[in-house]
Amino acid sequence: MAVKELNCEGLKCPQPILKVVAFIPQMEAGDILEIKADCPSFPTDIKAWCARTGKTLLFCMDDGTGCHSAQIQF
Amino acid sequence: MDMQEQIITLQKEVENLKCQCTEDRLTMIVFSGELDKIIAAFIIATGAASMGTKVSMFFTFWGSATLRAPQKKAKGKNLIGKMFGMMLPKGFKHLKLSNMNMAGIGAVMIKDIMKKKKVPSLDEMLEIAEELEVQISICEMSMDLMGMKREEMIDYKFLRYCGVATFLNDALKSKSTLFI
Repeated sequence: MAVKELNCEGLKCPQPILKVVAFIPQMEAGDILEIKADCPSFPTDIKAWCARTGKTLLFCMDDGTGCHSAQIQF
Repeated sequence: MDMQEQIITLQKEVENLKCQCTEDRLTMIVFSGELDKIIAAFIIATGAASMGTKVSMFFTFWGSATLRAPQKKAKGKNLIGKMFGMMLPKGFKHLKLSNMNMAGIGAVMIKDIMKKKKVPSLDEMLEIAEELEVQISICEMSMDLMGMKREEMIDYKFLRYCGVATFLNDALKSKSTLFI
């Protein structure tokens, strides 16, 4: 159980999702990945990606400046 | 204990299958921004919706530019955004034909013929689509590229802004996907 961080700020759709996928080998079952991204479509995209791949999206929230942070449990 | 483990693995398996099985849905990628292609897209979409199929339309690139409302304006655009805004048709009224446009005469003729043959106009088709709960998604990235803002897009009940992963999640679950 480790929390790992991934910064996707400044990246546009679909690059944040691609980064998450590229990060998968470093994750073990139960690990939490925290992602920061400022692409406006990131919240809907990460939700859809989690639904598709069967991962648990713990939360995804906007910090008020257009930057979103999300946590996924693997 | 063994039984319980088996049940849990089975439950997970069923959930996985549920995520991936197809539903009665048609997904359309509306890439082009030309009158004839948009008409075709809306006729197919409303047709499918009237047959009880769920329909999602994903407007991207030239397609997303056609969904700007003619009466709305957005502030704070940069030069490139303004240029795109001026060059691209604003609203369904100014769309061109992909073939035989003849400086706009073709488009006027098609609209006239449609009226005579009692084919609904694009604005009417959009209303029908809204009644039939057709979902319209606009590609966030193409809006960003062309400098379009959310406040200048059409009013539509089932409108959402999304990225490629959201769209693909719909498309992969659909029985068929069309690219227009």
